[in-house]
Amino acid sequence: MRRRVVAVALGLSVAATAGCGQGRPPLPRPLLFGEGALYRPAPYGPRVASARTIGRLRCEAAAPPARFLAHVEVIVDGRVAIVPAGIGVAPPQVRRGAYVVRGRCEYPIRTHEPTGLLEVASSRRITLGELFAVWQQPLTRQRLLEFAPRRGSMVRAYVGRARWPGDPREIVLRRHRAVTLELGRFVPPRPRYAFPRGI
Amino acid sequence: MRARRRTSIAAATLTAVLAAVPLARADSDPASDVLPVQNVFVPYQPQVSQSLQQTLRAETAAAAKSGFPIKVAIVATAQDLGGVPDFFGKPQPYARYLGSEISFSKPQPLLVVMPSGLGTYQVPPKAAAVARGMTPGAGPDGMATTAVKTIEQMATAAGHKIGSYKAGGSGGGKSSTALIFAGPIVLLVIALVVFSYRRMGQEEEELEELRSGSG
Repeated sequence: MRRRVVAVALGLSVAATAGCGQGRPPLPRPLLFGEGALYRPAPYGPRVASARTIGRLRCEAAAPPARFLAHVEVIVDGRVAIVPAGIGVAPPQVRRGAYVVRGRCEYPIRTHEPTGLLEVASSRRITLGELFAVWQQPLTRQRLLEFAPRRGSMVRAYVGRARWPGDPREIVLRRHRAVTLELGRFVPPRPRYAFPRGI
Repeated sequence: MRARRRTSIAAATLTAVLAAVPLARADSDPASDVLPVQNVFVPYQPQVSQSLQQTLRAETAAAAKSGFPIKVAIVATAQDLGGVPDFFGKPQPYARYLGSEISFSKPQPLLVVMPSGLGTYQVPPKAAAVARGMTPGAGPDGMATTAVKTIEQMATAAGHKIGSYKAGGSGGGKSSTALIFAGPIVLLVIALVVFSYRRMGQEEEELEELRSGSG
């Protein structure tokens, strides 16, 4: 009987490690979206709706200047919160399915798709704090979106896989920089993000 | 005896530890963000031509109407997979991954097209076999064309006829686009015929009146 238990346990262990021994990491498992309105924040608030200047960022109607892409992902209690399309795009927004094609004017930091892909004006040095200011969502060391702060739990920020030691608002959005923000249950940040080529 | 017990405990502990290792990654594949809102995900770049995108959207809409709802992800490069590029070249594992991400209240049938092949999630076995037998066309447009054909054949295999609602695509798929443009012209011609007919009738009546008046 005990021998069977040992065999079963060892078999399970081998099954769990299958793939690791071949030098390839196992394929990732999906991380699900969170349920409820807090996991689906609106793309803009009243200041963007009226196209007001936010900090040093102005909403400009001219064609978008040269830009680069960065990525941000928000995870709360192990569930994904949507970074919506249309952040930094003043209404009325022209939508095509899940995408926001254009609006009345655009800020130097904006999203046109709900994938966390950020378009940043190349000429500007823009921080994560400014993204959240344009988004009009809370971001501090304790707060992430409208979720209640957790006792003894801080917002964790990762640039790539490296933990950001300071205030997450100070992270500068550079070309192809992938930022993960987490609150609550830990989820290992992804090793890399494959950006579209040439941008 | 004790040694065996220790071995059992050690093995069971190892199993428990391995099971507890968090394998879940912070997923950020763009398709999982887009497909809950629309039926079709296409590459960021190079893009699928607008007309083919329209055709693909119409095809999924027509399939849904015929009782075969399905979403489609065209993955042309690893860049289309964002945070999970390891899935590139693995259409079937990615279909399972993406399908489970976008299945909320009920399983969501899905078709994934990659240059290396096609994958499906939650479709009837006959429809899945159809997808497995297809060879993707070259480039994003070729892959989109393959998707259009595959959806139609999958629907047929599953016992659903998509019918005449198709738009664009190869072969007879342009019927709906043609209808959109031809419809108003046909209506205009009918209106002109009716108008001319009435006019002729009026002229004949006037002629009759003149004849009867002069007679």
